[in-house]
Amino acid sequence: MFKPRRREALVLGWMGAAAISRTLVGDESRSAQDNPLAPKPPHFPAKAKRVIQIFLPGGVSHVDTFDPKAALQRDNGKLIRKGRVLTASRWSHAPGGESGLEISDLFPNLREQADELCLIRSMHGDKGDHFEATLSIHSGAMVGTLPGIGAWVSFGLGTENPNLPSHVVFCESLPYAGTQAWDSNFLPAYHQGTRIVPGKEPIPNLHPPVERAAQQSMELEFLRGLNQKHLEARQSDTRLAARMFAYDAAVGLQKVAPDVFDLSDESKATLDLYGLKATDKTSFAWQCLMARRLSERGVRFIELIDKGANGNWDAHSKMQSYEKLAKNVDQPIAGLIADLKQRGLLDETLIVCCTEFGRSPDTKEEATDGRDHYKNAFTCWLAGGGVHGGTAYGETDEHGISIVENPAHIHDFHATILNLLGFDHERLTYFYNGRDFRLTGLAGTVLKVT
Amino acid sequence: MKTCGSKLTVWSISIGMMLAGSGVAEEKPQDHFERHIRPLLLAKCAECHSGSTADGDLDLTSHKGIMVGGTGGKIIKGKNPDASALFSRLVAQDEDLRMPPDEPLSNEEVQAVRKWIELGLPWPSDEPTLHTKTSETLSDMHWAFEPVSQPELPEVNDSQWCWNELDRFILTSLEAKKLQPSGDTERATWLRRVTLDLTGLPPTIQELEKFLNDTSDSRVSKVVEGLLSSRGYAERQARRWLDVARYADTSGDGTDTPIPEARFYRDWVIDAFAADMPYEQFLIEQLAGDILAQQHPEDPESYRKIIATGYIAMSRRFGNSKFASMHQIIDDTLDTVGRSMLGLSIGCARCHHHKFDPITTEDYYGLYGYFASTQYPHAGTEHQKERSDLPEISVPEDKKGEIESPFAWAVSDKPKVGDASVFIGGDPAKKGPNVPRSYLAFLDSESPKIPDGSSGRLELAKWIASSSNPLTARVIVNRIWQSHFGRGLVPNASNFGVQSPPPTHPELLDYLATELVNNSWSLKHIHRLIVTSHTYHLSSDESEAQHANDESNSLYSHFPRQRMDAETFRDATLATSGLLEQGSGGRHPFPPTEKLQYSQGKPFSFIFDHQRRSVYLMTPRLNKHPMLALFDGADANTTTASRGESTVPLQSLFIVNGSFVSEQAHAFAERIQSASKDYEHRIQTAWKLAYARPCTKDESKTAGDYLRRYIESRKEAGSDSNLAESEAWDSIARTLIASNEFIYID
Repeated sequence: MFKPRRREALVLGWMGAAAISRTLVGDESRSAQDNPLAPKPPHFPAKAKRVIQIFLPGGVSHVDTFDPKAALQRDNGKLIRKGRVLTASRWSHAPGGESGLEISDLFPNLREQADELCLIRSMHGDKGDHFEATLSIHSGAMVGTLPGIGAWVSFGLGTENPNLPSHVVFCESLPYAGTQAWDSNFLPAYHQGTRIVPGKEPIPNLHPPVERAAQQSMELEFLRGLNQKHLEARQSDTRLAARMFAYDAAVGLQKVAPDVFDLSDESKATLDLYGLKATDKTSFAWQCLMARRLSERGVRFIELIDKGANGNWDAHSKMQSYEKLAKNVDQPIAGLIADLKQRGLLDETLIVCCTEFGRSPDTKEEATDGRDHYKNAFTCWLAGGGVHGGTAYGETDEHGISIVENPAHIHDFHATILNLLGFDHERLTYFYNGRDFRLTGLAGTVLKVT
Repeated sequence: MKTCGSKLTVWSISIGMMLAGSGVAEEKPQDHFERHIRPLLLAKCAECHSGSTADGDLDLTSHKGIMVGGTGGKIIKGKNPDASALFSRLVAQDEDLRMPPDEPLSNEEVQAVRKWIELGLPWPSDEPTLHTKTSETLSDMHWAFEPVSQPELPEVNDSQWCWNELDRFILTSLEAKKLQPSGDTERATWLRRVTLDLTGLPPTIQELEKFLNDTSDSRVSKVVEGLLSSRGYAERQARRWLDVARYADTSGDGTDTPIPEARFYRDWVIDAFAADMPYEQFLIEQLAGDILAQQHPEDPESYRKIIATGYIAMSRRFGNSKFASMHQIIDDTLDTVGRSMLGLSIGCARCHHHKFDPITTEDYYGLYGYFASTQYPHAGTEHQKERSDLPEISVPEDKKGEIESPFAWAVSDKPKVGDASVFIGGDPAKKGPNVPRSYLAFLDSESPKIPDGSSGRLELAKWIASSSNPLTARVIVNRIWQSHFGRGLVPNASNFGVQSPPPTHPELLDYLATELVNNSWSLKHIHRLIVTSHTYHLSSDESEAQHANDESNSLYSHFPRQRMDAETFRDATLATSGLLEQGSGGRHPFPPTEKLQYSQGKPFSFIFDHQRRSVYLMTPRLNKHPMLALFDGADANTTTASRGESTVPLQSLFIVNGSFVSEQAHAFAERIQSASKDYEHRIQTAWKLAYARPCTKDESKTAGDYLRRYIESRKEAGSDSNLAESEAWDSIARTLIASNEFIYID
């Protein structure tokens, strides 16, 4: 038998790659070439091995959350330009942890974790509408669609657990721009996020209808027989074997997934940390705990999206809605940080918390009880993954209107995340349509966050 | 078409040099420019002082730029060199001021500039901006920009092997590499291959048996002609064009507002393929059908030509209000026109000269003007919910059943048309000089003759769809080749630029392009040539020698096995189950357009399903149809050159556990059972429906054994014997659909 062909188009599932190599070649060293999702080393030693990204859609107001301003409270109602007045936050703020990072009362639990957080208070972007800004913060795209950061990370690092996807997105209802936020776009399709919809069927089609579940292994055996016969005269085409293994892999997923989603091995203390009830299988707290469980199982990039394109942080009116929104995520995220820390996973897991833009510290004179979109300054934060906690990078002015120190563009933010994962963002490229593409476009500077 | 611009340029230079060398006669002002100034500007100045990102905002490659000056003010004072900075900076004593910065000009060069200023800056009238790429581009002229030439038929040793001329091009390179082509494929395999390729559907049992029993010499051509004239052919090929035309039924902005009229364009494309509309006309109508319609308002078919410009109207919208980002809409049009029709990434030149191809920013804005003069329709969006600017069409009474709206999703000329100005660095807020509407200068320096008041799209369309355009015919025949062999002779079907690797068979590409043009641009003619060739008839079996010497099969020594694309997999499954509903698409069940009220928070997000062919599925931009998304369907946001071929376990789960395949398999199983009471006969039927071939004895026995075991197992689980049997046939049917032989085309 001669050596099987390695095709450019060869695509494998999340798993079974090593098995393919063994079966067909007897040479495990080729598995990395045959399986595009096999773990790959980055450019230089990494601080973080994986990412948990929390995306809070709608545009989180920085001055009401992670960049609170005493002067804004003091100057409430002051006219700063025609028709616009400074508007105080309705929440007080206080220093947290030993570092004394100022965080508003909306996040009392996260404030306790202040020493783990690196607040990037000088974020700015190019897009002021949700659709484009959501794509921007995910993919760096300023126009149209490009692969999201999760797909890039999967492309760069592969994944550690062949029985699970490399890139998972928890998302109950779709954010702005729909599934494009985690699409692989021109990167190979196996890097796209696998969406998990919390609820009855987190992974679609995971189980056969009950009435034929008992016969499934018999049926798959029959299928394997047909495929094996078909393969005999076509040994040189590894795509055929890859597709056979994808069926085995599906069975693997059927077996592994229930264990991932089964919380019976979690202690009450752990559940309490997240504020999670044992019967709860959908809340954001459940998703945060899932993020930890998938981290432990070697998934490379996990994104949690707390709300869809509706009822989110887009408070044009009713700032008060932030009470409920913050309560929904504050303890779960704080619990996730604490839980990862107590298990020794925080150092190697980078937590990214981001939003597509901020909200204006000033509002129209005829008060509307809300704030407008604001792309000129907002806050995202990092934790774990070798980040220097208890620090703020960059600074806005006393009212949170302009950046006065160390501006951080979205491209810089992405360059920094890739840097923590061991990548030179200028060298993580993919050749497409006649040129090399990268996550950071033609820009990006690594921020000093370590 | 005139000679390419850059060639002309160098030709002028060499004439100039000849004159200089021979030292004859009094020099004309124009000659002085060509002989001394053009080479000087290009070699010594243009690197820093050209285009929209020129140093000191000073463009020394355009007459206007020189007259206007830069941030330092004017550089020309009448015909007085000593008072003109353009001259004085060349001879400045202060090294910080002297230009060019590295090495001063020779005295001869300085004197040439002096004389040029004294002459009043003569400049070629047909070239407001110098073509900056000249010399380096010409030194390695890119194959795709050379005219198509009818190649000589290659000599081959085994001319018997060649069934038509196409085969000679394949065989000659195989012989050169001493590679033996594989033998002919099984007849049934060929039938399944050609039927799926041309129509996207498997052959029926009747078609299979008829072909296998046909002993006449004409059996192949009978099949091919039958397929080419079927509606299935048009539906299949239209879907391929819709990929490159980034077709969708919704607007693609944050609201993803439905556009019920979009499907008129889809149906126009299908009809065009059915009628084998000449490809040149196919392109012209899509780019300028509205102008043609205006020229012949009496033509009852003119409404169809308006609909054809849906191709332009498809440019996805951005932002939250009407035309908020007009430059992005036009950029999408230019990008799509470039990639789909010319195989060029024109969009790269929006902010800077193309990095690799000789496309300048001036080229980009020269094309921009056509579409800036074009009125795009508006579907309604968050801040402007009303639809507007959809052109009216007058649909004949007997067509009003199909075309229910008096409007088309199409474009028209704006009342005020004209040239566009450069956006410096691609930023619409920074307007640079005006650029006349033009063709791509490196292909054609001639200026279009645009009638007053017209956008000029018709002139552009005719230029693109011209037989002397070196790209257009090559690009489409390469797409057709790709549709049959899984990859093109040029690997990236939408990029024929300098970065693209050369074709594996350049003469074959030109042969096919010539055939297309010489046969009235008939696409069916090209399909026919390919599928009746010996090359297309080869088995997909690969020999060790082939594998060792041509692992990528770039020489086509055997047929490249292909996985069905998403639509073919869906359609073939529906056809196999018998549930496929014939007939065209009809309208999508959108809510009435007066009530379309969507926002970013509540975008349109429905998926409508049916059991007709996939080309008729409603295609949203924001959210793909789940099955098409899972199996690498086209991205409706941008032009798609080829489909991916991913294999992931979620696909496996979709097939073994999902409801779509379950339902199809159940119908397929009923079809098998109703064919006969005899197990053996049923199994034969199943194999013929799924694989288009008879079942072998071994396979029949294996299937029969499996059937009995499954029945037993279900009976033990409590099914009565009738139910158990029906469940067992379901399982067989499901397995056939899940198998590699079903989804891979040999």
